[in-house]
Amino acid sequence: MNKEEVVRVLIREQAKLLAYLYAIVRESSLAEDLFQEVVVLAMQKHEEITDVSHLLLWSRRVGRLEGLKLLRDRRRAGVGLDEDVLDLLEASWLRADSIDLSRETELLKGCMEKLSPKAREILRLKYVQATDGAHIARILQTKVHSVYVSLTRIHKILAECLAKRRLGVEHA
Amino acid sequence: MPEPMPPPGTPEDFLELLARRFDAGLSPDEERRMNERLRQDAGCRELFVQHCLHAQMIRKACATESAAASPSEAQAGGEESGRTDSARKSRRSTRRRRALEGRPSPWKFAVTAAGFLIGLVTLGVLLPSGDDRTHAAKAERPRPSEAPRAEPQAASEAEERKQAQAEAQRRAAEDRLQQIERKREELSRRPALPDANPGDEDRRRKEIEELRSEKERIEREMREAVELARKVGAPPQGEKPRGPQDPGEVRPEAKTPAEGTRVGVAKVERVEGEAYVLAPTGKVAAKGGEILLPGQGLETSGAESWAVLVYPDGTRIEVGGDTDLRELRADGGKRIYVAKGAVRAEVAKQPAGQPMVFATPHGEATVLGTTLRIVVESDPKKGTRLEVEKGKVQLKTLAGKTALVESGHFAVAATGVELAARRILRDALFVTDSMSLNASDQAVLKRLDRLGFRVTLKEASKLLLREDAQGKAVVILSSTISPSKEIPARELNSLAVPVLTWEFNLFPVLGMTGSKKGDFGADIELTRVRITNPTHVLAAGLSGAVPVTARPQGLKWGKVPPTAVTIAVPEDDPQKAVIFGYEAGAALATGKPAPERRVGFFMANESAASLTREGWALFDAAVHWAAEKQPVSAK
Repeated sequence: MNKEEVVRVLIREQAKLLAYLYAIVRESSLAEDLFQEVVVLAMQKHEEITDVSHLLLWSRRVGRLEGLKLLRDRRRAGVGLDEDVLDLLEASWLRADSIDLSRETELLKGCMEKLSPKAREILRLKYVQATDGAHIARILQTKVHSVYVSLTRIHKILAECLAKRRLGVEHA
Repeated sequence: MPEPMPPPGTPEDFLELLARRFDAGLSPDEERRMNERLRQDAGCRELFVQHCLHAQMIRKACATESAAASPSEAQAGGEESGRTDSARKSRRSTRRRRALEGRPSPWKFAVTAAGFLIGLVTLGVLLPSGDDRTHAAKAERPRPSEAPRAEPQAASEAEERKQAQAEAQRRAAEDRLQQIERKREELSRRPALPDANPGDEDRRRKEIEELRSEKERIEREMREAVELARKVGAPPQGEKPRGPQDPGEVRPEAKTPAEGTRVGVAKVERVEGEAYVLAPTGKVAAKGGEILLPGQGLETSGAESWAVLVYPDGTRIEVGGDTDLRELRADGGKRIYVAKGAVRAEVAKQPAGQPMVFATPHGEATVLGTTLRIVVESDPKKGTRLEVEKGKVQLKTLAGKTALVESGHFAVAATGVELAARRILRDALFVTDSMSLNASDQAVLKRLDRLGFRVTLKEASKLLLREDAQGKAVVILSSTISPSKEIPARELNSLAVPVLTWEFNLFPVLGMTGSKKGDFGADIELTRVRITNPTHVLAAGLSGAVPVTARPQGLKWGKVPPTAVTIAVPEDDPQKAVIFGYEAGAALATGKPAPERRVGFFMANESAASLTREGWALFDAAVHWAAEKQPVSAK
């Protein structure tokens, strides 16, 4: 693949790769740093990459190695996912390659609009402001456990809503 | 401390475990259970991947909303309209805290994503030259002095027509995409009939393929349109070129008519407290929305004051209290002089060969696109401290020495301070016998502060070790405490946080030495020690016999096993280690693995007040090593 194609694909698939890297390093800012590294490496190796699926597989592989190295450097080894589990998860990520995440995000936006203001605020604090659960609990004057329960419930509601919207059962 | 989780069984349990994993993290036991669950249950694997994808999509969805709302944020519109005053105030103070503490702003994700996209495009891969964008932007932007009044109006109408046209095209493309998607799903779901003509099936497949190609083409065209819009530097929403002056608008005195004809460098997005625009004609109160011209500056007065500057390319500078910025320039690359105070900057990717430069009285930082924080002290010995959150920044001192400072590192340009990039540390817990520190503990506290730690000082009698040590890079235990009474041994020897101590009674409690008489002590009156392992980072580059205190001190020592690293011994007794450490996992004197790095140091109760330069160098190295702070080579 030429450099231009590599960059185009990686920009298009940025959200998925960020999700993959986030799964490994658990911090969105670290995932963003890693993504940049992966892009740079992919551009250096563009001639060895044969097609889009190869690029995505390769990017995940490199991202995983770099991510684990980063965790080791930060002495967080031992609190991550085991290598064999990461291998098992690869099949699920492979399936995710066929998902059109832009469309899914649009559907998700509709689902988020239906959430309560408090639930939307929790999402904003957690995912936009990267606020930790304890801090969210202090802001909302609740217990940390309640924040986790709320996040769990919100994710579940969003997943169900997305599934319905995908099938066209529920419209915005 | 998180409560122990019952073994997860339902999807809800697993989702809750995920929520905790991507927050404060799981205990090793919970992480092990999560691994087991993922290993055994394919459903959990799907949930795990789905959770990560959803997190990313939520971030993206919120960032889009946030970016759309941002121009009106200052006017308390959009999302802000539903908030109470106290909520706004709270958010403002959070922002101020962030500016000072270097925490991410709510725009960070949107700005980073946009900046990164533009950055990739301008890397020279998709566009021939990064300079084109700048020149195009300058060419497109009308200059009031160069055009008669009717022209901006006509240009504005033409621009509006173009925008309306583009919007209509975008909507049509999106509609078509939805049609394609529906048709494709319908075709994909249609079952192949057993008695169907093979030709029908081929046609169905061909149709699906054609729809897929068309969808890809439309998406590509839409992306290219977005990139093109970025390339020509279309002004962000809400930043339309100013037309004739609003009769009700009060123009700041600092803007003379001659200056008004020049292109602005940056916009003052927000101001809290006292802030002034500095111009050659004097200084006037700064207001949100004000454009800063080349050569002008911004000053905030009072510790609580705060301001935000934004550049047309999205570069954003948060200006802390009592800060003095001067000489803003943009020709041939952005330049700003930070005379004093603190700034935090999110710098968008800059054109090749035109880095942004932050100059200070002590040096300058050259930036190509990153997030950083600069603190300028008036004391030349404290100098300029540069912290890099993201990307790489070159820091150059007035003497011409340079250091490349990478993400997660900091460097100080100051008189008498070696220029080197070092990792940014988080927090340290310093435990003493009381909050009224003796001279030695005071000296340690100052030293830790200078090394860049945020120190939590704790009186031993009020210590809740596990809770207080949580999230700390290192725990430092002074010899002024009475360990046997005040700190439970069980908590101490299992503490999974690096520990540095010069309390010899704690050596056996921590498992660093044996507990018998003769295994540890404090009976050597010396001022010098001999470095036995000069190549180790704990030796601070020293070798041979070095003076460590100005006055003879009863140095603390311990007899350690070979699994420890011995750095220094008394000149006449190589069996007694006066500086020693254990790597995390290394076998302690008790045979158990060290839960984290441990360092034993020679100081007595009053030693720090009379440490020599070499003594402090060894102390710094001990803290660095314990908290994993390794100096990075300076050029």
